[in-house]
Order: sequence, then C-alpha cells, then structure tokens
Amino acid sequence: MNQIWNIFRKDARHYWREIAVSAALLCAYGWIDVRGWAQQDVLETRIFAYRFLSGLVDWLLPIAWTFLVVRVVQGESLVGDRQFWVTRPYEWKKLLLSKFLFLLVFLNLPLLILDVVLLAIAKFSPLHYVVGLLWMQLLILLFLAIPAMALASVTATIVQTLLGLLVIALYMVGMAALASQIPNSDFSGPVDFLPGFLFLGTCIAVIIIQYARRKTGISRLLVIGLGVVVLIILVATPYRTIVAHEFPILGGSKLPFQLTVLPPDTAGNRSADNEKEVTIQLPFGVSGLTSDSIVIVGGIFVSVDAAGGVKWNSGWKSPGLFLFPEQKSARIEFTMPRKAFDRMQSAPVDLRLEVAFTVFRDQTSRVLCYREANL
Amino acid sequence: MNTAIRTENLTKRFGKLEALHGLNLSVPENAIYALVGPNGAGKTTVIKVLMNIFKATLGHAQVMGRSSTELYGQRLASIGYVSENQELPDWMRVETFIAFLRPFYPTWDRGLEHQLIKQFDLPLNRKLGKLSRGMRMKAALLSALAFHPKLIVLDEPFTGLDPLVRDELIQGLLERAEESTIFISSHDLGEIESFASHVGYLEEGQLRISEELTALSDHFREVELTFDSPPLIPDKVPDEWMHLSSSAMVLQFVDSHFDKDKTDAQIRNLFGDVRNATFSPMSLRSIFLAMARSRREQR
Repeated sequence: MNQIWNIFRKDARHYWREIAVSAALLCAYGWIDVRGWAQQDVLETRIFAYRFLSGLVDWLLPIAWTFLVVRVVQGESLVGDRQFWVTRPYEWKKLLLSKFLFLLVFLNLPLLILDVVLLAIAKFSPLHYVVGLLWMQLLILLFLAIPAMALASVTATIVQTLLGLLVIALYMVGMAALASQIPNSDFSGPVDFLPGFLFLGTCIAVIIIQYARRKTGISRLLVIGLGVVVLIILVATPYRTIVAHEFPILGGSKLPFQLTVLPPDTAGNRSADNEKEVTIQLPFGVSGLTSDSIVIVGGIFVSVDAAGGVKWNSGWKSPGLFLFPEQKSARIEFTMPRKAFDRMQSAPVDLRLEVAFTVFRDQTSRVLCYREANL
Repeated sequence: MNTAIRTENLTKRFGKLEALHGLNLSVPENAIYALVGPNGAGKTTVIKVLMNIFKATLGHAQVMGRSSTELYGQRLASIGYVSENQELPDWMRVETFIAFLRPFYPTWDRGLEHQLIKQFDLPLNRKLGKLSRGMRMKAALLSALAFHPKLIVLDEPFTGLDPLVRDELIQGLLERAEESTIFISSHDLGEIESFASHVGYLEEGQLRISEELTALSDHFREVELTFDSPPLIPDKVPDEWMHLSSSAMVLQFVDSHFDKDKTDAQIRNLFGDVRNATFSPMSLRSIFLAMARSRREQR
C-alpha cells in the first residue's frame, strides 16, 4: 500500500495541471448541461453560442481525460530501456494499482460527483440511481480509460501516442470505406459485439503484458493482430446467414405492429443527394404497437425490380430506427447508386422491403415523477 | 569465494547483430570489477542483461545468486544501478526525488543520505533536469548508495565528467566498497586502474581477459632488448609476444604472459646473448592498447 500511495502522491503532484484542466472542463460540462435544460427560454443568438460551447466541451472533455490517462501512464513509461524506475524495486501490480487509483480519484470520482449534483439539481434522489451511476463509471473506465491506458503503455511519449491515434484513425477510415463496399456489412447484429469484446480484451491484455513484462514488441503485435482480426470479421462475417438466423421470417403469426405505405410528402422523399448516390426516404404509417413495447429495427433490405430486368438491392443496412407505441409514422431511408436510380426513376418499379426488428416489452414498468424542474 | 555475478555462455543478439558472444564472466563478492573495452564492445548490453533490462538470447546470467531474469520488484532493493544515459524524472527536485525513492527501500539510511548530500554538495531545491551532468550523476549515485546495496552496478558513470567530480564520485564509491560488490563499466582506463580490484576486457562482445588487476599487471611487461649488432627477427616468436619491432640495436615487444625465468629462457633461445634486457611494468591503458592493436594487426 505504501508503494501505491507513494506513486499516487507523486503523480497527483506532478499532473496537477492536467487534473485542473480536466476538472474545469467537467465543471463546464455540468454548467452547460444544466443551462441546456432551460434553453427553450433562451434567445436564438444565445442558443447558437450555447450549442457551440456545448459541442466544444463535448469534444474537449474526452480529449482532456485521454490526455490525463496517457500522461499518468507515461509518468512511468513502459517503453524503452533507459527509464530510471525499471531498475528500482517497483512492483508491477502496485504500479498498475496506483495508476488505477489515480484514474478513480481524478477521473471517475469528479464525474460521479457531477452526476450526483446534476441529479440533485433535477430533483432526483441520487440514492435511487446508484447502480446507474456506477455503471456510468464502469463504462468510462472500460471505453475511455482502458483503451487510453493501453495506447499509452505501448508508446513512450505524447508524440508517439498522437502518431498511434493517427494510425488508428486512418485504420478506421479505411475500415469504414471497406465496409461501404461489402454488401450487408452495415447490418447491426449479434456479431457487432465481437469486435468490441476483442478490443477491450486486447486492451486489457496489452496493459497487463506491459506492466508485468514490458514486452512492447508483443503488445504492439497484439494491437496489430486485433486490427487484422477485426478486418477479417468485417470481411468474412456471413451477414445474410446471421440475419436469417436471428430474424426468422414471421410466417403465419400475427405481426406485433403494422407498416402501411404513405404517399410521398411534400418535404420530398429524396435528400442529401450527391454525384454518386441518391438518398431515398420512404414514409410509413405505424400502428398496432402495444403500449408496453418498443421496436428496434436492426436492419432493412430493399430490393427494386424495374422494367427490362433491371434489378438492384441495398443489402442489409442498419437504419438506426426505433418505433414507439405512440408513434404514428416513420421514415425508412436508404441510399441508391445514382446510375441505378437514373435507370429506374422514370418507370414504375416493384420495391420489396424486408425489415429485421426486435420487439422489447417492458415487464416492470416504473413511473418517473419529477417536480419543479424546467426541462 | 562466492560470486556476486556469473554468466555462462551469455549471448545477446539484436536482429542479425550479435552484441555478446558466449560471455563467461565471474565477479567475486566484494570485488570492484571494472568491465572495460572500446565503445561498442558490448559493455552496456552486458549490464542491461544483468539488470534484467534486456533478455539474453542464449546462455544465462546470475546476479546475487539468482537468475537475472528474476530481478524485479523487491529483489532490486539490494542493487544500486546508475547509468550515464539513464532517464531521470527531470521535473523532480533533488529532495523530492530522494523522498520519493526512500519508501521503496527498507534499508534506506537517512544518516547516510545526509552524509552523501553533504559529500556530493547536492543542491536539494534544484530540479534534476536543471542539474549539470556531474550533479545528475551524483544525485543518481546517492539514490543508489543510500540503502546500503549489496551490489552496485555502474554503467559508464564517469563519461564526460570533470576530474573533480570524478574524484568525488570515486571517493563516494570507495567508502561503500567494503559492504558491496561494485561492477563498473568504463572506457576510462586511467580512472579504473586507481581503484578496481578486478578487470575484464570486453571487445566485440567477447571477454578477452578477466582477472585480478594485480595479476594482470604482473604478467604484462614491455620488454626492451639491446644487442651489440642489429638483431635478426626470427620467423616464429612466442604467441604471447605482441608488437615486435626493432630499430638499430634495439628490439621491443610486449610479453602478455610474463614470467621472468620463462621469458629469459625464451629470449636466450631465440637471440642468444643480449647486451641488456629491461622488463617494464605497464599501465592498464598500455596493456589494453597493446591488446587492441594486436587484435587489429591479426585481422
């Protein structure tokens, strides 16, 4: 414990500027959040300023947190062979624990305090939301602190970390470009969780390898391996088979809701067109959904047959669409290559729409009461 | 005699480059062992393998009776390590640095700490990053001595230091020599000679010599033979004679296995009567220069 405390105190003393910046941004975030509850009363010009500030803080806060994590991990750099501490009686578990203690105290604790304060301002009792508050802390740890720690543990300096981030950003852009070329890869299914688990597992493995053995070469290979595996998952996932398995066709059974085609509205059923693609919106009427249910549309598949044997399909796409009981209409949107659109637009077409959805039913309903707040 | 450090067939490769070739080294307890050799000989690599900073490719190293690969955590609490190119936390003040390290060592001696601060004249309020090279080495050495280490490992500690600072560092070290084994790498032969008890000569990753300094000095001699007429250099001379050269009536060489009776007999056997023969002791620097030159001539 002595060693953990000793390293923690050293870090707290050294990184006070980073801690202060992160705390200031968190306060700003809280202040903006509370102001936002009443934004409908604010003048138009102020709303613009508010949104700008809010967007800025939304960006800066995770950057400040990431920077804090990277700085504190690199305080005892795990890369290289010249650091003074590697020949001192540091115990790796205690070193790692001291870093986690630092994150708990200077990242999680302020956020937890802010959440509690926000709940109190909104007249909710924080005690009723302890699990949710702790869950929030865990998510921050898992999806911000741990990836940042992993990156910091395989890089020696902030410059190297930024280069690493640049490589990751390029990889993600490349993956997004590749995904757009793979039919059905946009479908949101159970396989979506796999890269997330692999990512988290790799981050944890890298942190442990680095702290226990400082095998930077192996750790970097693991990270590269993760990139390759995610690429393989993207390319090799049998999306159609998964869709067929996860969303069996509802034959004779009664559908939990009905969609009826509505006539095109005047707002236009095309938007955000560009040279290569045309976006098409299909308006639907929604009915029949029971009051205790919501529907998450996991995927849509649009196939179009035009005269002269011209065919086109969208592949399975994830529309990010939710249907609520009180909802009367919905709009399904998809993009079509302009070439296909130009060949089909002037003639009648047969359009077939397949929808993969999940119905969620609330089994324990809860009434949320709130008083005096001005949302 | 117990050994503080022992390596067997220690080999370290970096890709295709073999930095150490089957090194067999033995450092007795309480010795002051100086590992010398030219730049790039592999001295730092040896030390980094011993300190478990690098892993050996082949062979193994034992430090204080334990495999060097097991040197981590509390096992480092009895070893003081200082290197010329060690990255210290530059943002820390000297006193903060000392205070930070103190709890890591159960045997930290506050009295000795104060004594060393005085002896090295360390400015406690200055940041490590603002110290001169000599002062940084002193601060690092203090932090490696104040806990009475059983083994002190120093990698080129005197490089680039002025003579006064060197003397202060050596003095600080020698005062601790009785309770510790000191393993020091250097290419400053003059300094080493003044205090080392044992010496090893490393060249191109191979240990050419490893023995007590007095024994080494005893069997190296600069030999000068004076003849009545210009001597004829025989085709074959003993292998241990190096840098054979002659000018007029004088012939000179370095005998690397000097034994008065044996060398006399070899000279008589090869040259017959000699007007005068002188056998001059050599400094460590002269010995290693002779060896390095001989190696170059053999290539």
